[in-house]
Amino acid sequence: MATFYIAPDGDDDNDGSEASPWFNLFYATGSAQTNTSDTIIVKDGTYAQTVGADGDSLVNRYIKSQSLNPKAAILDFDGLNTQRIGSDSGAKIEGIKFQNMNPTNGSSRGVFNFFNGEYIKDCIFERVSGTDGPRGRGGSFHTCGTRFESCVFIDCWSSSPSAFDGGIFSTTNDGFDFEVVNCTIYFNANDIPAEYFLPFAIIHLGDGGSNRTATVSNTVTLVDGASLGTFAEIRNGNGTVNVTNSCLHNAGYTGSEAGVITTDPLFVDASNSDFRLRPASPCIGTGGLT
Amino acid sequence: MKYIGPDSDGTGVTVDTRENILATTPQQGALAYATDVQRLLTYDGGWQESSALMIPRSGAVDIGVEQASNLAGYGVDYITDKRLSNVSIGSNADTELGGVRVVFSESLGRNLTQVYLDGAWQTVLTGVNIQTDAAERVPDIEFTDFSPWVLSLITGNSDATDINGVPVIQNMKIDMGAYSAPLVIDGGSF
Repeated sequence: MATFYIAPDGDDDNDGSEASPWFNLFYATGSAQTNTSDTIIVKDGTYAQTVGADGDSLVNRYIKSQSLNPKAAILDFDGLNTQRIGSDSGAKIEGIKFQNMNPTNGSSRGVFNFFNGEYIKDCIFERVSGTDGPRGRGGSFHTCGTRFESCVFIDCWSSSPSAFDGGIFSTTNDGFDFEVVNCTIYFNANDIPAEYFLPFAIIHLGDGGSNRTATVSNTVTLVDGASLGTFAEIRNGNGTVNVTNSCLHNAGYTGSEAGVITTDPLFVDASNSDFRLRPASPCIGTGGLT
Repeated sequence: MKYIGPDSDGTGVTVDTRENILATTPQQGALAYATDVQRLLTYDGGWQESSALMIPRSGAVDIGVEQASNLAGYGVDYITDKRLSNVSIGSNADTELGGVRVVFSESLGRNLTQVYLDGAWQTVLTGVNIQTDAAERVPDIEFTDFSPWVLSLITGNSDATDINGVPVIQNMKIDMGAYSAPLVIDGGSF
């Protein structure tokens, strides 16, 4: 287990040490640079990334920002046709903001394709969206055994106008369960192209299995500009979505599970990405101890 | 049976240094006490020296010596005012109050130190450590030893923090979303 670094003033021609860091995250995660169980530390700063992922590049890597502050370590993929970011085993990501990831080609199964027990904590994902073609089919995050904890998702969507199978979080086959815990999900419908909005759902259990479970707890979802038609889409009724102690406002939720409310969560200023809770928020102290 | 009687000086027991005693040739069966080496000697054609010490302290009871009377108020079953060195505690067949033993537990796969109390062998908790687990959401402080023993004390606040650094669980309550509201005022001034 070795530790490597990327930094805003780094260079991919360097050796990845702290004194001589790389620049692009997905150069660092390449199999020629790092191995499974290696740690990649993202030094604070905003990075205009120039290298996309290469399939299963996150396999078992531990990627974290040095400050563990996602507002200080920002990876911006704007203008880059990001390849599918895959992980076949146990990646851990902590304290990083990923933004402007909008791939339009490649295989299906999401922008992030998590496949086996990933742990994503204290991260911000803004505009991580598949907008067309097969990308849209898998959701922003195609998940299996993934746990998202204390993460924020801003204007993330993924949908295909030709197939009703988008979703921020998507899964397909049997046993591909995932958890969303203490997360904040926000998007403004006005930011999403109209042709992609209507089929959109937060949770999508696609074709390919009958025994999938998505668990959502202590999570706030706020949709501005319009209301979702449905919070969770379960293709052919196969699979289960368990929602507990969450606030789903304009999110298309019509169930009656324990502790789930649909009132305004009263963020301080959602349109400017300030998702702190106002003192009168119904979300304060109403989560479930998990 | 050998007769032990007074020596040629009419003294019942010669008390002198070991060197002086060995230089004498008393009657058969004479008894002497060597003050410098604290040993008894008997004469049987030659001086025979005891292997055990005889320490003339009436208030002390020696290990392994059967006492015919309780000279200092202690019974023969007691050892007191002694220091045991290089002693190990192993099995103990006596189920009496205060018994101590070290036994191997097949089910746990490790050794246990036990004391016999209240009619049963009670395992003494050893090797206890205190830890807080930063990756854990449930708010607690854990006393841990081996895997079967974990004692958790709930503090009300979690070790794990939310994206804004505030404990996910505060005062046994948890907020929804990624930004926990800071309920606890800790330090500072108005």
